[in-house]
Amino acid sequence: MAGDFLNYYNQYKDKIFNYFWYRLDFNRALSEDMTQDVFFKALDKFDSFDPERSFQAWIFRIAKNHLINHYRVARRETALTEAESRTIDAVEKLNIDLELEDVFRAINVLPEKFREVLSLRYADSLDNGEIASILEISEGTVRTRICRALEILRKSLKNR
Amino acid sequence: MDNLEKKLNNLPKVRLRRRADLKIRFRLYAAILKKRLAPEKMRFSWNFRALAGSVLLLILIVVPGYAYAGTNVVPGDFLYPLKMKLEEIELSLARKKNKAEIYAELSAKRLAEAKVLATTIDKPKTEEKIKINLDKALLLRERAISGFSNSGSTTLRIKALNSQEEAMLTDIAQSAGVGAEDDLIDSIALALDKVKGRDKDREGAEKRGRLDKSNEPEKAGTEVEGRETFFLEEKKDPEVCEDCDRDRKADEKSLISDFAPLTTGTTTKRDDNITDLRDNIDRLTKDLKKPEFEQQDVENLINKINNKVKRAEEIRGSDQEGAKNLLRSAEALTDNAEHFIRKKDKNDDRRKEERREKEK
Repeated sequence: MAGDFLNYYNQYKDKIFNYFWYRLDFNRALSEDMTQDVFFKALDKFDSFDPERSFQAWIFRIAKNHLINHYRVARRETALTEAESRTIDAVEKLNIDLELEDVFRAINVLPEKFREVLSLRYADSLDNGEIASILEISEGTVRTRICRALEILRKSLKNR
Repeated sequence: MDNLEKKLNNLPKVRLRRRADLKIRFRLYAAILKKRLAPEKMRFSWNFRALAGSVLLLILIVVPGYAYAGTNVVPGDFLYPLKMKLEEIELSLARKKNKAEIYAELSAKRLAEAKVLATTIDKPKTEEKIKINLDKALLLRERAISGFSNSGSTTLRIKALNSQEEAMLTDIAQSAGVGAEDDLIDSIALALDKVKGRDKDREGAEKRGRLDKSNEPEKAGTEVEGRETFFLEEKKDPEVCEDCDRDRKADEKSLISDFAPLTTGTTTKRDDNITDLRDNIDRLTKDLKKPEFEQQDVENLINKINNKVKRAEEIRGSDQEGAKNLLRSAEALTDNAEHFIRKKDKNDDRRKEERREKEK
């Protein structure tokens, strides 16, 4: 049991960290803490985990809920402009090329449901099925949202 | 895939830093270990607490109870000091009117301990411990009797105490056996004397012997009277009274010996006493030569008594005190012989007979 869990940790620790990194304004320290929290929660519930199901989807669900709780506790009510400016600062610190900077900024201003599916799809490299499982929506909805999100993003980037 | 999607696919993928990874890993290990041990640890913790509680209860209640009440807790045992302490506390808390009863109980306890010790008489220093216990028992007995008398308790209570202690001393005597050290046998015999009140009889007889003026010339009687007076009065300062010092020394000599000649040319009291003693020994020997008594015990005891008398005669010239003590213990042994002699089991002879027939 312990061995299995640690294997899962090795396999998914970077993904979870990445998940939080993209959603917490690229804050490494906070992302690390959140990653730790998620794995501890997973460890607590590991006895109830069905090995025949996807561990990835399972751990991402835990991560998502944890993030929601984090926002709730932090009482984050941010305006789009505030979020954008914070993201810009964070992105600038990333030292990535300018084109990607634009993409980040554009993603950041998308509506939550679109931002999430795009992040899960491209930042976290999850497939539609896993995204559907994490967000508890149908795969069709996932596909639809991704398409819609890409449309909005294209328009946004075109306008810059 | 258009350009956008290509770009999206190229979004940076960050990794957990090594330091953070190690930190999380270490904590996970600890959590896993804790989780593994948690059910057993809780059980163990509960069991340990229950065990610790039981042990504490044992120590606080059962052990003192056992130490206090247990007759097997004897001098030399680990719990004996605790037993003594508990008795001390009981005495200190007792009301005055109850103290006599407590003293009586404690006296019986000391005898019970001596009885237990007597069964392991081969162990070193056991005989000394028995003697100490006998002394303690007698002292406690005196306090008890004093308490009963003061409180106006009936003689029946004192008689019951004497009867109980006589029985216990008999057990001790038989457990120790005639083969035990002379000192121990003497202690038991003298203790029996006290319990039976014979010690007072002996003292009285000694006093009467000194006071007996019949068949004594007046001079001797005067001397006896002088000694009697001296015995009762305080010693006079030898510096003040030269004659008194001389008289005192003479009196002491005769008082101590009890057998000092009152007059020259007459049968000495001491010799009379020895004669009486020898007569008693002869009578005892005849009385004990019965099939119900272990004859080996009888023989050993009679030999001990005779040896004491013989030694007393040998040393009376040089050691009056020693001679007196020997004769006193010889008398006590003679009077209490039946307590030391084991009685034969009626079936013993039959069993011996059966064994002999089988061997044939």
